[in-house]
Amino acid sequence: MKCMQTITGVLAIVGLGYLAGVGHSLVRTKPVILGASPMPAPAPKAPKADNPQADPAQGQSTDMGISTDPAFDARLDAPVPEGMLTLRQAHQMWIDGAYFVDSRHKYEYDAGRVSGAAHLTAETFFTDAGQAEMQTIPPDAQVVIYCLGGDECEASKNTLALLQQYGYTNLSIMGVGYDEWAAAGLPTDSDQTTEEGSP
Amino acid sequence: MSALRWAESVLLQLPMRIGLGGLFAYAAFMKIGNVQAFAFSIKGFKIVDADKHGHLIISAAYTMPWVEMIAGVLLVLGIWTRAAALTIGLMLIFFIAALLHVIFSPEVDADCSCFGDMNLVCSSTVGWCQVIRDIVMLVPVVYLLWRGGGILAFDTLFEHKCAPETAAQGSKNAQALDDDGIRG
Repeated sequence: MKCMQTITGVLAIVGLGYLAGVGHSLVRTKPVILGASPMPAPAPKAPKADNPQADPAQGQSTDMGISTDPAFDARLDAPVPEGMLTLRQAHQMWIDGAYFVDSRHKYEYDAGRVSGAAHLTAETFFTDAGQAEMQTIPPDAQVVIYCLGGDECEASKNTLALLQQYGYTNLSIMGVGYDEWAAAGLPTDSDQTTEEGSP
Repeated sequence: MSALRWAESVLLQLPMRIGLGGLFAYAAFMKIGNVQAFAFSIKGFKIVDADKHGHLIISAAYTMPWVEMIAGVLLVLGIWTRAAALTIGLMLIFFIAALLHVIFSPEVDADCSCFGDMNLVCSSTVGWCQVIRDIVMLVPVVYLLWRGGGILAFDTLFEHKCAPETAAQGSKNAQALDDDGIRG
């Protein structure tokens, strides 16, 4: 008898939870999404002379096209999943003034990030801090999102999908992770210091 | 009521109920506040194909936190204690299975998001730590299923309130059956 009551109770709890969930979905203003809409494949841009982010004091202004170190070139052109930016393309966009968004955990972001990158993840997106970070990026700006890199970098895809929902259109994902960026000696920031990149 | 039952209620059942129920209610609160992130987390576990069965992931993202919340609150209050404990136990078994799926699938690299943005004991990346944590949480579940909510639970209060009525109703029914000549 007690066993029957317990099972009935479980079913009642699950049923109530389901009804509450349905109610929640009805009052939620933004629909829950699972992925981004298809985006056009990124095209590498020609280097520009008037670079708003390539501050000589903070960044570096290496001409990516005339590097003579084959190992460094190989690192910049390392293969990435289809539709994502190589390190060379991402760096070129950084020079061109693209906004960078870090979608890793906060402690990873604090420890080191692409110079000037904002922190936006699915967890922080709807918080005040996340919304404030998003406000700093104009909707028509070129945005490059990165995380740990590779095909399994779901965090970048999730952030991209959320930004798309808010009307951002020029979104790209860096196919390699932050570690590769830092290992190549490209410009980084951390909470303590700003390091200068010199590939 | 014996002193032993009181001691058991105060020292074991009440802390277990508040600890486990409170933890689940808090975890649910964190998820309800950011359903979108929770949906991404479920997708990251790759239990179902997000392209084909995305509706299941979205349904789970809305339903699971509310089930956790209701079961957690009921457990804290000691209402339907066994049902709430069993619900939490079943969810924990499901979570353990999902964690093992991630651990044994090298191509899946997921974050737990078990408590939203907060990391309780373990880091956010799925690993054996979360499995052990969930197994540890099964201990109070089994105990509460076995012993119930204890004296300091609403269940016991209702039981005592209802007991005289139930007894009176039972004897009335027996009397009615006797009168109809069905019994004896």
